[in-house]
Amino acid sequence: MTININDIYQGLPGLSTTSGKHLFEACIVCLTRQNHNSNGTKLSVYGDKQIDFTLTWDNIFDEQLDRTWADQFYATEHGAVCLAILLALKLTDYTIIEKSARKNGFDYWLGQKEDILFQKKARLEISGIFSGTEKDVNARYKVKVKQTNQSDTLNLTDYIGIVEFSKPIANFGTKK
Amino acid sequence: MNLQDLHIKAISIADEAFIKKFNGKLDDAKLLFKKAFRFEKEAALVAQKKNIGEPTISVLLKSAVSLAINAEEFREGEKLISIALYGDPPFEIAEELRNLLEEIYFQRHLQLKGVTLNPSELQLVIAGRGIGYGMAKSVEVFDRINIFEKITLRTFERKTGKPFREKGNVAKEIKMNFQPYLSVPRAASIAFTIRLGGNYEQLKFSGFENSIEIIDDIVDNISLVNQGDFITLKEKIKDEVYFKNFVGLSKELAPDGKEINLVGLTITRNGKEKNVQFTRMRNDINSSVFIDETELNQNENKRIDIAGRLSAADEDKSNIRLTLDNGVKYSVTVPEGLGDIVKKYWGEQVKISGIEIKNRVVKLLSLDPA
Repeated sequence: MTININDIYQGLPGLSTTSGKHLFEACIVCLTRQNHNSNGTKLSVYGDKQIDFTLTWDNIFDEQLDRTWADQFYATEHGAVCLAILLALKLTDYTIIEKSARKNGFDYWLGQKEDILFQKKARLEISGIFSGTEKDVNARYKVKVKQTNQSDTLNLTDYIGIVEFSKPIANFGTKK
Repeated sequence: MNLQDLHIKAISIADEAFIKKFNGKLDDAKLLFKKAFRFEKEAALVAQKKNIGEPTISVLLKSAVSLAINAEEFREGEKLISIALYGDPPFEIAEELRNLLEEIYFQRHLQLKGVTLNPSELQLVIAGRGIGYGMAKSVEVFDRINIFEKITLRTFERKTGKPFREKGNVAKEIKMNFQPYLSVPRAASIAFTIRLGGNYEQLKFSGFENSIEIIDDIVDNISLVNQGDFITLKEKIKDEVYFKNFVGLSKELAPDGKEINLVGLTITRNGKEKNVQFTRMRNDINSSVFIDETELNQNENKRIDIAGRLSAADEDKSNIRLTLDNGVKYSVTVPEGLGDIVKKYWGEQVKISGIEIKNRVVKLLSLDPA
């Protein structure tokens, strides 16, 4: 199955082109810095489902983009958001993205239809690792599960997406 | 505009604001955050008035508070947090609102409020779960003060062109002139004034002003670490060993996200306060900053994570020993510049991440308390 990363800024419901392009750039920066091929890079996903995707994208990486995205930590977090949203749309029944602001960016919520804001929606908890092992990915996943444990009793559903860029791999699933 | 429209408008403006902030256009970003805040606040208050239900009300209020903080409208943020917590937010959202409230109070504590700083002084503020109002876990405070002293003395040695001192003591005249002095703590989370050097006239070192230059350098460089701008930091600290040392020490000064959430520095220049909030968590100051990325990739299969008790082995060879709980001993090679950090943990339980270059010989990548 193929994921074209360009889709992130091409008409996803709830995500503006401006915002999508920002996430796209971050993702391309991370993948290119890890020497991945824009014509087809395997992304192995495990978690709720085990599935291999082929990532493709327009390679817009150049020196200027490299300079703009100097903060690798910031790029990794935003690049991970990009891939996690695209994975959520492939792996779940959700079709709508909603956003709420937080201190350094946004929380992302998944929904099925444009009903009341944030109700019957699942929050997507995302984290990125630029260069790590499957063990690192799983450890980060566990941290996110702990962080979201308290929401059990209050009906906030959580999906967790941890993306690693060197292989690349992703652990994606509901909080269990 | 209905609730949905107000929220969509707010988020669309916030999108632009975050991108402006990312591109360093901070004044433009602040104006946009103010605008976004007005729309999101209205959306939140409409949701509350119509009693539209949770989590909508608290999520919108939290979103508005986040925008208020970015717009530096702290009092507005405080009011909205009170409204949200007075309601019935989901536990998780309530916790996030409390964290935002802590951040708003931290902003208040960063202000000097009548305390006068002379140019060779700065205010250090520490806040988080481990810090009460004017009371603190001693280890959290003293560790950071020790680290700050190390940063100061290393900065002085670097700026006077001395090669990095891997061993031995700081020269006596440097210590006399630039050793930090501490005020009594103030209740503001916990805050101290730190003065570089005593009251007597400082010696002049050639090509070098005095404590003011050191303080400005430290504050600017910590700000760069906080922004993740390691490229500019590398341009400012050209010597690789000093660079690694500064990043390593900054990591020790940074909040851990558990006991300490916020560390702040305040100085006054030309009668104006300048604040640096050090909010980047220690885990987000990545070891890859001071490790050769190629070497890391080539040795991916030799990566190892081990935990145990750290002890000194051979200081001359920059080696330390890690004894695991099962008695197995590892020799750990410490890269140049990181000795200051390692020494802090001698005799303590730590987690080490590294590359196993030979059987039970590890090259250190990162070190954290267990």
